[in-house]
Amino acid sequence: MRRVIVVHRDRKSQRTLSRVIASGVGPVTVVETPAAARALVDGATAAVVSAEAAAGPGFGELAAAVRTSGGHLLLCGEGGPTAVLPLVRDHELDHVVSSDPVDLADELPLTLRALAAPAGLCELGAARYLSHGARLEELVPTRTHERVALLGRLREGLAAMELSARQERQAALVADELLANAIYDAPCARDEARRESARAADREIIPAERPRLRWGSDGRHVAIEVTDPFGAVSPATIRAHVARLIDRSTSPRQGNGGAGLGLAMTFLATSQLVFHLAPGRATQAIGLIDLRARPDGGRALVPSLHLHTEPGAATSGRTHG
Amino acid sequence: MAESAPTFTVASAPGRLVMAGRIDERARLAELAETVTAGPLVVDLGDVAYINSLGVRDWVMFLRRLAERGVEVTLERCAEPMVLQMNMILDARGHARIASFVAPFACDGCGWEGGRLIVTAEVLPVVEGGGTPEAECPECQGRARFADFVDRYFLFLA
Ligand SMILES: [Zn+2]
Repeated sequence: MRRVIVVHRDRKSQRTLSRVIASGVGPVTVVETPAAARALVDGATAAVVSAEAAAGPGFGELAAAVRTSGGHLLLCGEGGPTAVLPLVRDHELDHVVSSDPVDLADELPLTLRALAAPAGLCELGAARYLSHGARLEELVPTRTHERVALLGRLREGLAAMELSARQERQAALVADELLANAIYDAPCARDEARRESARAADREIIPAERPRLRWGSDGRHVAIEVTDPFGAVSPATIRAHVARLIDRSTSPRQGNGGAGLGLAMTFLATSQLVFHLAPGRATQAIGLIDLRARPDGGRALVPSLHLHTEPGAATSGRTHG
Repeated sequence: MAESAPTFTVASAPGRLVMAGRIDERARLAELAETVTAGPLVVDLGDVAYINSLGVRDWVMFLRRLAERGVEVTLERCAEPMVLQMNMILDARGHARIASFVAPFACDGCGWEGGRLIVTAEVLPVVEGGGTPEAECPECQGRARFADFVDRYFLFLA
């Protein structure tokens, strides 16, 4: 990343963001408007933009310029889902970062460094988001109905961590939904009927199609990771599903696979949801749940979202669901 | 906190259902709607421990079928997982009346975290007046504060 620009009007936020980026990544330029940032885009540029600035004039042009530069736009999630998710949908954004200064100090350098490295499936997976040395448990289902037993084992592991009832439920939900998606939805993403009927019967999953569930904790976060060998989900699909949270309009019916409900529920259960997408090859989803005691009970105002897509394949995933 | 995978259970009496445990694809809620007789129905959701997306879909279908048959539904003691779904999707509440529900609280004095039962009629004036509900900590009897976003958690009551 050649240049990092912060677009924020609030002095205190400018200082926080500058410190986090300058100390964790490298030099940073602070401006107040998208238009001022647009003029600075030169080569691969990362722009960290407040939701307030993004809702103002010139943001679309900035987003387009950053994309053309081969850079990345990171939106600060300070406004809650109704302020942030329309921007994500309308401007096809890949990154929402926390508005909390403590979270940001963790998340922003990690994200900017990840973006500076070649995109694509990350070998480290969830380990990247936990402190060094955190141990990950791993389970691989060999039959579709084994999912329930695997989730039982996960729940036992979570119980041993003495999480709060809410944290335990959130972690279990993330694993439940991501695993269901990997076992049932990913293999037949283009065939809703097959997806519905696929759930009733217990069948063997051939080795090449088996998803992998991993989880672990470093005392600050619980991380749940599910990787499938299909790569059926596209960034556009993910954005569309979480955008339905804006007006609470998801309308589940028999036969529409829940209308992406599982993905929206997963998003809201996490403090950070990360996808590494290799379209047609693999999808890796990582949900992080914050364990630190927080005044709001540990729920982020809006969870962070990161869609890392392998270069050259970003537009090949088709929207479904 | 071992949630030893309690399966879904439902107890029924005339005009009343008590749901408990885990609402997922095994709960078969949509079929349950057919067994409900005409007249007002109270559904107690206090001991629902978990619901996943397929459970939500079935729950929505359960409410729709009852609405189609003109059954007036009142939800009692809605557990937190159910409240979160109703806050996420309009259809998850449908036309049901909410009599009472559980809200998350935390005590800064002793670190207790948990849910307390809230009566809708009592909390609505507080929330609509811009206030935040309070509760007594069951462990140290200190003041427990509401542990979520007020403008988000009570959305489903509107
Ligand atoms: Zn206390």
